[in-house]
Amino acid sequence: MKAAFPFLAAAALLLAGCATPAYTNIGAEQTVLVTDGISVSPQIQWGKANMTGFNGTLWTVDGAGLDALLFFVGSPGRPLIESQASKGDTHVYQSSMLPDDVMELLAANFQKIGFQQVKTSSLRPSAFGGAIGFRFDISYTTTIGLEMKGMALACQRNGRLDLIVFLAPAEYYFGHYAPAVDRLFASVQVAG
Amino acid sequence: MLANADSLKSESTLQWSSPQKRIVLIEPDVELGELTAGGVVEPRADWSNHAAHAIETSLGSALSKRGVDVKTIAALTDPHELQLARLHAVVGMEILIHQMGFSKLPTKTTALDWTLGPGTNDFRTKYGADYAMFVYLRDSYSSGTRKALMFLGMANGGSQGAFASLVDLRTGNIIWFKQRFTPGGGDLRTGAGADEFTADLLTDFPQ
Amino acid sequence: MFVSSAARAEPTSNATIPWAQLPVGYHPATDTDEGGIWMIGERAEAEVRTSPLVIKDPALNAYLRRIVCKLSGPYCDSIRIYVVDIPYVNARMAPNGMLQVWTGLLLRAQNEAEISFVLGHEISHYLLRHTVAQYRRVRDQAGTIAVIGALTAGIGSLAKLGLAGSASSFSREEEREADQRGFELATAAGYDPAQCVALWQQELAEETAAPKDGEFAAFAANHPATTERVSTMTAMANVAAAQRANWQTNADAFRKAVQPFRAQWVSENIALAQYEQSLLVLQLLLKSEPKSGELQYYLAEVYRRRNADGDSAKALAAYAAAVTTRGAPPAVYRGLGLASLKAGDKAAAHTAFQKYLAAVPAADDRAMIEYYLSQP
Repeated sequence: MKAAFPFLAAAALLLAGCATPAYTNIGAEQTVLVTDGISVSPQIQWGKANMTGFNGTLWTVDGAGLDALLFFVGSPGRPLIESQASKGDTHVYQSSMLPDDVMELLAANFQKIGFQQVKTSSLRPSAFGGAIGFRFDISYTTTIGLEMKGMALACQRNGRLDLIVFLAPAEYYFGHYAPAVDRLFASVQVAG
Repeated sequence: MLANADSLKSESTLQWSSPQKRIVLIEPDVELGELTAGGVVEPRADWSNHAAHAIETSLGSALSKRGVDVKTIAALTDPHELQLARLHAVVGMEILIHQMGFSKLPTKTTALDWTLGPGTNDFRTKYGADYAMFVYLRDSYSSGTRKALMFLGMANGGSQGAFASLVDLRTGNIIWFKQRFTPGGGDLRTGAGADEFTADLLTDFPQ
Repeated sequence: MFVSSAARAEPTSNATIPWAQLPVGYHPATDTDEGGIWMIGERAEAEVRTSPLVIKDPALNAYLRRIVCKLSGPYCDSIRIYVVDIPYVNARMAPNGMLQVWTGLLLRAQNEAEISFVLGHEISHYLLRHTVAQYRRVRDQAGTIAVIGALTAGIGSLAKLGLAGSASSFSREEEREADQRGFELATAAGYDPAQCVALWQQELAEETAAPKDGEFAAFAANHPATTERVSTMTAMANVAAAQRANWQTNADAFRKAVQPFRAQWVSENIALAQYEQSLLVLQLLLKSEPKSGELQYYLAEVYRRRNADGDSAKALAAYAAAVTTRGAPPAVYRGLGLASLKAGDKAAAHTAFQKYLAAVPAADDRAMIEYYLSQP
């Protein structure tokens, strides 16, 4: 049976707690504070979802099923993604984790919320503001068999993990937005 | 910017690259179910099959009457075509939520600005068509009613939906999108009423 | 006794499978109640057919088809096999002859005979038309889960696995009958009766180890591998054993058929991050292949990822065993490097990482490994 909104791509599962959030404007030229101490330059116009029941921030251009830019903060002892759909997920972040462990953890958290055939690849160091973080690529399929791609940028500092993940269908959308997201990743600034 | 709450278009007239004027009609994605006493909707494969075939036949015939050559595709098997059809389902739901629903996106301010991307040219070359039409319908009936619940305004919004779209295969852009449709008198479960359903679906269709 | 399509005159029973409740080539008339149920299977099959989870490899499919044909005889052409890449133990037959075999089953099986008893069981449900009765029950019951969802659960979402089980629950009598008839089909085809319980025993062991609220537990709750069932089948096996001198297991043919997929299926099992269950699977595989460097490597990976108390030492020991055993993939050095780094042994980590890069110069995580190497 195809359940309610069954084929919204996986990012939308994160919104299970609130089906229709309001969206506020994120202009291309601003510098935006996304989480405590982290700011980025958006590069293109986005809509920011204002919602509860989800521990991250979501920006999108065409809707979460088509492109989703997610900002998370990982805290020790908690999964990276926390929402209705992830209840009971026992795979938690520890500050002693290596980048490899963080990549495996995100894959496990994604699987928990229903992403299928999750694969990660191309783990590599990457600038995160003035610090050294890491990047990796993601692929998965949704419950209706739509192929998806993703790219992630992360940094561990002071016992906490900052993570930015972009997810979009492999057909057109990922390739269309990847250059802008690349520039956004490069624009990260860390306060202090 | 919206001409009509139920339909949107970015083009009023169709542009053809050949005198043949071909539209590919992807088999309607229909699921009709039964609302059980326990409040769960159970899909009925027999209802769904009858409705899908009837709508497809009726739509093909109605479009032909407008001078369009319709090529129906019953079951997609090509992997790329499958990805495009699945992508369309997602785009359609995003249009329903963000353009026609209350969850407006600041990034969508024009009449209709959604696309499947130029990968749709695969359909174009394979079938010799300039446009593709998709129909999506999810609805349920409770026992004893001939009319579908969504159309009675009694649907639980999450699992119901009806939309149709026309995609320009040259660009992948959705140039016409219609939601909801007004049901006719017939019962779609048996295929009756498909002609009325189609007639309503095609109101505001580009020339 | 049953209605067959008017277009074909079929014998009312099959000489080789006299207890079958449907003739060869059966298809109910579409406007009957059973026809409607059949259509549910067809719609589900249309979804399954285009699912990215289906493994289309011709050799593997041909191998499984040979087994199904050995078991089902003249009904073979009515059954279509789909190998679905889901890391749980399952095989499921729909009313219209669609047979799903999940790769979790193929990973845990040790030989062709073990598979034959499971497939014989499913084929029996089909030949006895339990599947039709079951789906009729599901459809008629108020407040029940959708039938297509049950058939495509797992294909659609692992999170729905709990639903998959309950909607496909046969009655105890139906299960007992399918166990019995499936056993008969397999032994009639020459398969060793002693192999009929191994997979059930493995499932019992894994259910016991599974965390109570994990996905595996939800799935297993609806596919009871009860001790009662194991003892019933063991009794059947003991009675049948003496009937022949040359029972077959076809272990070699089986291993050859699944070997190309083994690494992938083990990785997918580990990716579930249900490590207690993964350890049981690896222990099972290592029992018959103690000298497999590949399996030793995966065992090490489970300990490294689980990272519970004491796991660091277990991981390091398992990596050490793997590197000295034939068949370990080059990634063993990567794992050893990571485990050593986490354990604070930088020298060992660096040695391992250098070996990894030497063995896999085009590693997709080369930049990260070089970064680890560059840290003092």
